Amino acid sequence: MSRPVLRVIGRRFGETMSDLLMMALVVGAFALSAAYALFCDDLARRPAATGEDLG
Amino acid sequence: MTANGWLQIALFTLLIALLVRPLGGYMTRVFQGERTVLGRLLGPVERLVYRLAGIDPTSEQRWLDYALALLAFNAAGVAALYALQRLQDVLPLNPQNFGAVDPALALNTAVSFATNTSWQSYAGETTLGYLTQMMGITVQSFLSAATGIAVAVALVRGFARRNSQAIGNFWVDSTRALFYVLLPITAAATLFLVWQGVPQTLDSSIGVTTIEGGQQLIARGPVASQIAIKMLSSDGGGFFNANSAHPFENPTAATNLVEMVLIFLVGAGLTSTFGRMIGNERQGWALLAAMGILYAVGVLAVFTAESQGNPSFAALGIDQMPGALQSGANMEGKEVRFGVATSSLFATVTTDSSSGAVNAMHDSFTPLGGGVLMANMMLDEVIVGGVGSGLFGMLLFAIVAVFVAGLMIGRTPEFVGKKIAATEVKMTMIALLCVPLAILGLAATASVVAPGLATLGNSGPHGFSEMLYAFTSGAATNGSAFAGLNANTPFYNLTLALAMFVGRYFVIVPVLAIAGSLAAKQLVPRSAGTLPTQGLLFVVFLVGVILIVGGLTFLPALSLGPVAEHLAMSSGRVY
Repeated sequence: MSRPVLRVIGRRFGETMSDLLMMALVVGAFALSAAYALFCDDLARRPAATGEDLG
Repeated sequence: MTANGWLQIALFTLLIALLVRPLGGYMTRVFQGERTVLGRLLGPVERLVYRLAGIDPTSEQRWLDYALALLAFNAAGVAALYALQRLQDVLPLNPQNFGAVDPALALNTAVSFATNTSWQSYAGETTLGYLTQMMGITVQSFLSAATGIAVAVALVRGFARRNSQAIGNFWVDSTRALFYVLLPITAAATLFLVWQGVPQTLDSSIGVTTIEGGQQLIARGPVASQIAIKMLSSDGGGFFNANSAHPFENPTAATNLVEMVLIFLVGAGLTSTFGRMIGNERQGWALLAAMGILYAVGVLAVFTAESQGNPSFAALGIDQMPGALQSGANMEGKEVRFGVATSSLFATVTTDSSSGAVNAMHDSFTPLGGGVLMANMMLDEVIVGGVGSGLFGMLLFAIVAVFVAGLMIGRTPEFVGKKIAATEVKMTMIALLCVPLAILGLAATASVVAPGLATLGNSGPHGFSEMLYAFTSGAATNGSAFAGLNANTPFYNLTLALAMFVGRYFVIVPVLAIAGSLAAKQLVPRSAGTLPTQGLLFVVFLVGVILIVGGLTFLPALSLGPVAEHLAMSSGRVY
C-alpha cells in the first residue's frame, strides 16, 4: 500500500472518535463473549445441587 | 389458492426431500475425515492451508478452546469487514467512487455478516464498492456459514462420542465445511445463475436513455458469485437493495426455485448427517419430520392469508382474486412474475431458515401472513434453520422435550443414548432464553424511546410490528426486513448489532458447552424405560414443545402487533 493510503488509514482509525468507539464496542463485545464462555465452563463443572439423577 | 401454486410448493418440497440423504451422506464423510469425491482435487489445497496457518489437523480441542477459537476467528472477521467499509474510498475496485461507510452502519454491517444474519441497513448498489462486496460481504457469507456448520458438527460429535474430552478442531471443521461443502456447491450455483442472466462483472454501472427519454443508471457488478453463497449460506444479504425481488438477482422462475432450494439445502442435509454420525439415521429423519411439519403449517398459513387479499378491497367491490387478467389476491409488494404462491413460499422458506433473502416485501404481507413470518423466526429458526444453527437449535429443543418428558414419567431424561443432566439443561435454557430476551427487551426499549419511534413508516400495531420484526430478525440471525422501518440510524444500527451479537454468540457458546459435556459421557444402553425419540409420538411432542415455548414467550408481543392489526383490518381499519 502506498504511503498516502497508509496515512489515510492512520488518520481515519487514529483520530476519529466514532471509529475508536466502534472498535472498542467490537473488542468489548467479543471480550464479553469470552468471559461468558468461561462462565459457562464454570457452570458446567459445578455439581448439581440435588436430584440430578432421577432414574 | 391456485393448483399451479400448490404444484410449485410441492415441487420445491419434493426436491428438498430428495436431496437430503445424498448431501447428508456426503457431509458425514467430509466431517468424519473420510475419502470423498472431491478429496483428490481439494485435499492438497486443504493441507496447504493447514501448513500455512500452522494448524495440526490431527489435534482436537476441548469445548472451551473450540469456542474461544471461534470467537477469535469471528472477531477478526468483524474487524476486517469494518475496516473494508471504512476504507473503501481509498481502496481499489470501487468504480462508482462510493465514500467510506458511516461508522455505526459499518459496525452494524460487519456484525451482521459475521453472525450470518445479513441485516442490511444500507442499499448495496449505492453504498458498497465491489471490493467490499467481494472481499467483505461474500467472504463473510462463506465464513459465517462455515462457522455455523462447525458448531453443529461439534454438537453432533458430542452426541456421537463417549468418554471424550474433545469435540473436534474448529479450524479443521470450518476449513472442511468451506472447501468441501460451500465452495463446490457455490461454484456450480454461480455458473447456473450466470447462465440464467445474473450479471458477473467488475465493470461499473451503465447509463442508459429510457424509452421516455430519461436517464437511468443500471447497477451491476459481481452479483452471481455473491447470490450463490448468499442463498447457500442462509445468509441472505443481497447485492441489490431489492434483494431477490431484483431481476438481476433472481431473473427467472428457475432461479427462484434454485435459490429456495439452496436456502434449505445444507440445513436439511445436516439432519441426515446427524443421524448418520450418531449411527441412527431414523433419528435424523425424526428431526427433519418435526421441521417439515412446522414448515408445512407455515407455508399453508402464509399462502392462505395472502390468497385472501385485503377485505377492505372486497368491501369496495374490487375483484382481487386471481384470474386470466391479473395475478390477484394480495399483490402489494409482490413481483407479478412470482405471484402469491412463490412469494408466500419464498417468504416462509427465508424465515424458516436464517436466510432473510426476500423476493417480496414482507411489510406488504397481510397482518397474519407477516405474523407467521415473524413467528417462524421467533421459534429460534429451527425449521431447517440457518446453516448449522438450524440443527443445533432443533437439538436444543429436543433436549427440552426429553427433559419435560423425563419430568412427566419420573426418569432421568436421555436423548440418543446420552443422559441429559443438569449441565445440559442449564446450558440449553441459557441458549434458549437469550434470544427472546434480546428480541423483547430491545423491542420494548425501542417502543418507548424517541429514536426508536422516529423512523417508523407506519403507526399503530403495524408500526409496532416493524420494530418487533427488526429485532426478531436480528436476534434470530435472519436479516430480512419489514421494510417500513428506516433502520439506518445510530440507535437501530447499534441496538440491532447488539441483537445479532447476542442471538449468535450467546447461543453458540452454551451449545458448545453442551457438546463438551455430552462427549465426556458414557452411552446409556436402551431399556424399557427409555423414551423412544424416533417415532411419530416424539416428533409431535417435539413440535408441541417448540410451539409452546415459542408461543408462550412471544404471544403477547404478537397480539400487540399482527393479531391486533388483523382484527383492525377485519373491521375496516388499516395502518
